This record gives sequence, structure tokens and C-alpha cells, in this order.
Amino acid sequence: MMKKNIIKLIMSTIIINYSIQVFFVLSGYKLQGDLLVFSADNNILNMVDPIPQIIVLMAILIGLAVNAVLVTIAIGLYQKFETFDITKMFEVKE
Amino acid sequence: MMIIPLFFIIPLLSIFFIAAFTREKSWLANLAAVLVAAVLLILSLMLALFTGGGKVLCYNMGGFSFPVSIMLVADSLAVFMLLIVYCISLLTLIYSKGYMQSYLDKWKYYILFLSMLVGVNGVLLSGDIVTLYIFLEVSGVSSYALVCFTKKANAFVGAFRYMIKGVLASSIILFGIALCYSYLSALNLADIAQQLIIRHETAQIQMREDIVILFILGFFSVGFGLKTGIFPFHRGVIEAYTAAEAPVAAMLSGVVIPVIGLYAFIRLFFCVIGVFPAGMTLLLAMGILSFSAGIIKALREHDFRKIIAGHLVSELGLVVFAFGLGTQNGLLGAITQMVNYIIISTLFCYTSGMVSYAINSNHTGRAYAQIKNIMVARVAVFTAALALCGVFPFSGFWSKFIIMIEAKKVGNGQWFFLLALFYLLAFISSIRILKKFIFTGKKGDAFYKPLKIKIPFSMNFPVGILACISIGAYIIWFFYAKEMFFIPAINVLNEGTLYAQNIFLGIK
Repeated sequence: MMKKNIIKLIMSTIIINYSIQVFFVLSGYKLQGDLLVFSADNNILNMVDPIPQIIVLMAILIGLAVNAVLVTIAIGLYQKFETFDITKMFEVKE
Repeated sequence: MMIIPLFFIIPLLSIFFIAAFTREKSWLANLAAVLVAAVLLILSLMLALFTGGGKVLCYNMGGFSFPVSIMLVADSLAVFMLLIVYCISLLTLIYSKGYMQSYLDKWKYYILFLSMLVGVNGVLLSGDIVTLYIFLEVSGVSSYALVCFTKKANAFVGAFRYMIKGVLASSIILFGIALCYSYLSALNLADIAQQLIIRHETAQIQMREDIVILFILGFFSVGFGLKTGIFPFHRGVIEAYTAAEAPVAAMLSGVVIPVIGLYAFIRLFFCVIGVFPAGMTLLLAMGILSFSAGIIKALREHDFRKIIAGHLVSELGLVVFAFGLGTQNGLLGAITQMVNYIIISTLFCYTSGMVSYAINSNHTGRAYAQIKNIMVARVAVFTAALALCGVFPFSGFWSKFIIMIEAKKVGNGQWFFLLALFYLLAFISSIRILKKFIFTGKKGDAFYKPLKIKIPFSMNFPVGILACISIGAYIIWFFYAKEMFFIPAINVLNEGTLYAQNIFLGIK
């Protein structure tokens, strides 16, 4: 997040987002656990929690939309300033 | 309750309608958006009647039962906020008709506007934390796109900075949700509140001794603080206010930021986690720091929009401070100040838009001296500046008076002294605004020539309505609306974690 290049800034936000998503998935993980769908009678004693997985799938989709808008704005910035350096953009703006 | 889903169905259907049929007819897109806002305002009033007397309405989506279902909840606080949101949205859409005349692809603007409203509705009505997060992102993404809608260089820069902070805030909130789920195995707000009470009673511990919850609260404070633009996270929001077009800035300051930042945090803190002294002190400190930082920023700036952006941060800081007081009157002051903040911010944004429209440029600087040449803008700035410093009978007087009195009772004089100091600075800044933009002018300057462009009625009308509310109607409105809307909203916050029991009653 300390970089001046806006593409690196976007990459860093994506990495932060992905790391949180991995943390969320792992919060529902159980060693040697099984999935509910693999049991015919819904009777699994050591079940992996599916809710974090569902939420993370949704978070990935939201992240996709957000990243698309971020990259669109980055393209707009490059077209206006012909640089990816955010400090130079502020200089030109001011 | 079948009204609640209409808050999502109507705007989403109208988005499809606008995209399909109004690409060449911008007046139809505007009409459709105005109609949607009007219908949703009427539905909000109906919800206010249904939720009178502290009733809670619940709607389970997908046919599942509590706590698995996606639940939509309308209580007095959510309905109160919905009413404010739709009053401001309706006025802004009417304002947009005149303001957006010269822009191409107006249908895209209305689509983004309505999707932003869908997100705001979702945040207000969601009964579980994941739905809240989803709608937070929906309204966030729409607002980022709206900030750079004009595709100007400064709009792109403002949108980028605002968006980076917004994305970071969302990640932090998601981390808080992940921690919360790991700790309590619950996502429904009422379920979380219930689980917390059971856990603390079983372990015989107080809230301040529960380290994990303090961590979760810390993540939520930082995440929602970034969204709200509270000190020290206020720079991105100021950039966005300054870069966005006037109707977008009005919606950002008047609707999006109070709802997706402040409302969401207050809902989680008061109704789900439950208040405790250290948390309230944190709110008081964050509030007073924002109040001071905003005023100092406003006093240092010379550009109209930057001065206003500083004041918006400071006024929102005062709302946070008043919430931190935590008493019945403190909460009344907070809610009243929030309404006052929304009126002032919207009025200032509309005024700046009038000047941009008159000079056909969003370029700031000396051009804002044109305010004195536009009659309605002059009245609006005069009203808003006096409301800003809390002069009687303008709207700011009541909220600031209540907060001042309550701060004296709560804080042994220390908060009272600080508030008095910053009220004085706000007064100086307001006088500066009046002097700089209304009462002085150099006759030989090109920017002081009388305007040839006539401001359309659709832009004058919302400004006039808000100025009237701020001047006179506010007194009558305050006394009549207090029992009907304000007190039930405050009761929701006062009841705190009894929210869970109210939801269980609502489900039955």
C-alpha cells in the first residue's frame, strides 16, 4: 500500500482481500473433515463448515466487480495523465 | 411483511427499464428515477406507520427459518433513516434533471444512482452481517463509479483515492466478520447479540474483558471509520466530495456516508455488541478529533468546496461525539445533529452545483464568488452557514444546544469546554464563509459580472425546500416529528441488545 504505482496499489488491495478470504475459509476447516454432500443420511460427525466457503465465494464475486471498477479508473487515470505514478497525478491536478 | 422486499424489487426493475427503454430519452430516465424515489418515500412512510410503537417487521428470504435465512428487518431506526434517505434522494433526482442537462449518457447516471439506493436500502434493512457487507459493497461500487462519472482528471483521482480507502475498509470489515463467525458461529445480527449475552453470562465476564470481541469491535471501528471519513481517515472522503459532481457529492455526504459508515457501525455497536464505557469513550474521542480536524481544515482552505468538505467532516464528527455521550438526550442530540448535517451538506453541495452550472465548469476557486449573483444560492449559503454555527432558529441550533447541555452533564466540564472552543471556531468559519462568498466582492473582477445563464427551476426547487426546512419549518417539524420519528429511533438504540428479543417477537 506504500507504492506510488497505481497498478501495484491495486495488486496490494487484491492480495489483502485474498488473504482475508483464505483466513475466512480456514476458519471453517476441520482436519480430516468431510463435506455434508458426501453423506446420504446427512450424518457426518466431523463436518467442514460450508458457510465460510459460501461467503468467500460471494466475496470473490464482489471482489471481481470492485477490481473491475478499480482497473477501469486506473485506465482512465492513465489516459488523462499518461503515467501510473500517483504522486505525479497530484502534481498535475494541483 | 411484504412491503420490505419492494425496497429492492422496485429500484432493480426500474434499472432494467432505464437500461432497456430510455437510452435516447433522458427525460424518461429522470422521470422513472423520480417516480421510484417518490414511491419508495411513500412506502417508507407506510413502514413508519407499521413500526410505530416500537414494533419490528421481519421478512425471511428464501423460505428458510431463523437464524439460517437471509433476514430483512425494519425497525424504527431503519425506517427513520429510510425516510431521510428518500427525502434527500427525491430532491437530488429533481435537482439532477437540471444539472445533468449538458451530460451525455444520462441513463447510466440514473442506473448508478438507483443501484446506489439499492445498496443503501440493503444496509438499512439487512438483518444479518453478510447481507450488510454485500449491500455495503453494492452502494460503494456505485458511488465510486458516480464520483468519476464525468471522466474528468480530478474526478478520476478523487474516485481512485476514495475507492482504495473504501476497498481497504471493506477488507477490514470482512476480516471482522470472519473473526465474529469463528468466535460465535453466528451471522444473523440478532443471533450474534443473543450468543454474546449467553457466552458472557456463562463465563461470568464483562464485555471489556472479552478480548476477541474487543478485537472485532476494533476492526469494525477502523473499517466503518474509513467508510465514514472520521479522523484520521478523512482525507479520501474530502477528495471525493471535492471531485464529484454536485448531485453526487450531495448523495455521498447526505446519504451514502451517514448510512454505510455511521449507521452500520452504530447498529452493530449499540444493538448487537452492546455499549460499554471504553467503547463510548472511543466514540467521544473520535468524534471530537473529527470535529476539530474538520474545522481546522475548513479554516485553512480558501476554496468553497474544500471549506465545505472540512465542515462536513466536522459535523459528522459531532454526530459521532453525541452518540458517544450515550444518554437519552445525547442520542436525541446525535439523531437531530445527523438530520442537521444532512440538510447542511446537501444545501452546500447543491449551491456549489449551481455555480458550476452557471459558469459551465466544475473548476473551483474564485468562481464561487458567483454565489452572490444567484439569489437562491445566496439564500442557501446564508441559511446553511448560520445552521452550521448553530444560530437560532436555524436547524443547527437545536442539535448543538442539546449536545452542549448533555456534554456538560456527562463529562464534568472537560467535553463542554472542548465543544465550546470548537463551536467558536465553527462560528468563525461560518462568518468567514458569509464574508467571503456573500457579503464582499471586487467590482472590477470578471468573476463578479452578473450571470447570463438562468438556473432552471428543477435546481432552484430542492434548494428552496431545504432552505425552508432549515429556517422555519424545522422548528414545527422538530416538535411534531420528535414523538413520531425521533423518539422511536432513539428507543431502538437505548434498548441496546434487547434488539435480539425484538427480532424474535417480530419473527413470531
